[in-house]
Amino acid sequence: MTQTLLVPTAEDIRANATFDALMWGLARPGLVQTLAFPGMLALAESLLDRECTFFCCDEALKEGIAATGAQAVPIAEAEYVFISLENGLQFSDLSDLLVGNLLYPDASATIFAPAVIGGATGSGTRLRLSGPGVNGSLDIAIGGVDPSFWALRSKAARYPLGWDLYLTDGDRLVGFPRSTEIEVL
Amino acid sequence: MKLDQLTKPWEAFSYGFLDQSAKREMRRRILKAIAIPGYQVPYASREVPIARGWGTGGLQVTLTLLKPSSVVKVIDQGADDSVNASSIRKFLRRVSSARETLDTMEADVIQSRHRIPEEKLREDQILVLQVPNPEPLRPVQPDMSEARIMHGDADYGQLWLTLYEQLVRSGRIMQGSSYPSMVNGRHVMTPSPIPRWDVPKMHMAANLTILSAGREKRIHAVPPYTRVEPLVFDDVPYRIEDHADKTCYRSGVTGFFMNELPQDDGSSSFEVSDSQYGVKHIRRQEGEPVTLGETYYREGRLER
Repeated sequence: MTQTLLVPTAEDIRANATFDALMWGLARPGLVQTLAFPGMLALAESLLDRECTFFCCDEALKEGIAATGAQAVPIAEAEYVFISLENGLQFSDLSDLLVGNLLYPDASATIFAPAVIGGATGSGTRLRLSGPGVNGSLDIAIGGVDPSFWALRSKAARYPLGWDLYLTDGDRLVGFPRSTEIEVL
Repeated sequence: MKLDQLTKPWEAFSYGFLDQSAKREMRRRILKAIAIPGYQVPYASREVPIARGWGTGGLQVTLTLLKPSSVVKVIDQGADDSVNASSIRKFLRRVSSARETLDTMEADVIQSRHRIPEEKLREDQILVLQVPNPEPLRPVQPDMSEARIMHGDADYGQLWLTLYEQLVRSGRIMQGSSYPSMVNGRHVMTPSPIPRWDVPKMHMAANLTILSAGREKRIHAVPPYTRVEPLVFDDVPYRIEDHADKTCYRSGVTGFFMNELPQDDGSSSFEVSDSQYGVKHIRRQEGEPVTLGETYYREGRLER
């Protein structure tokens, strides 16, 4: 008996590969994942649709994300937040981000931001990660993110409440779920 | 936003059976589940062509994960060849073009009902467990809103009480499967109805585990290298099933989880529950080149 097997469309391939990186990014915090299809828009397209709310400061990107059907809302209501963390001045907004509640800790925000990912010895703020998904501890250097951000994160994330973070650098992506403890070295 | 921007040309089936919006829902929920290990994330569970209760939760996760390059294994109570397992495997192959395998070491995604394979899973492997009842608190709190509050408060006193009562009544913990386990020191989860033998395999495991209940519409996850500690009293150690000295009558392996087969004369014989592991041993005895993976247990004892 011959079987017809279903093959993926270009959209399926893009979304699947992107989600793979997103999933392993959160499952293995601090390990660099490779994005087969770089760009914030590809990340958004694999996750967002009419069910979602988002916030984005970049007008061009905002238009692209809105095409998924997701609704643009103020940052305090957004489930998916596309911002830059380079400038510390914007951080007053970050304290308003959704962190969920004890009944539904998943009703929380996910941040996507560009950064410079430096590995263990690169330039930038050196971080030591531990927690679920990290075998022991792991060092990583992150540039392009205001150093004061990390203190703000540890204040905001009262596990299991908090938000999850993705940093992208070209075709590279690292995830920092709320469960990860980050020590600034 | 116009209608034609939200629609696509007609096609008979979506790749991976689930449509794009169903997959995005699964993706969003899987990410939350990984971010909060052990917390049960509610999700929109879709219809799939098997009845609820036959692995629809696990199936939806697997369908979301598969690519044409994936290699998939499906187990039902340790066996690859049960009707349920082989039907799911055949379905997965048809809708995703993924390759089927029976060998734990070859698989990228392992969907399982009620067992974790005996061979150690690696960092690049994903174990998808089918979960009938995701709520460990249900026996003590049938009201799911109340149970949610108890999880929020990390109020697990009543679970300890049931374990204590089992000790008082029977002299030992009677909980045979779905042993309540603390994940990352915060949320108690049910590891799905795996035997007590399999629960320690989850502790600081190298692989990612995703547990999904299709009927109950909840998903939870255990990322790699995450603490999974069965609830035990300090002075009553956790006990696995006494299978250390049992030998499989077909493959001759000793010291793994066994199925007990009652015999006509009242005695029992045993066969290894992880069927493909037994098959690999038999093939090796017949001289085929077979690679056996490292196992969690060695001579019936947990390797740490």
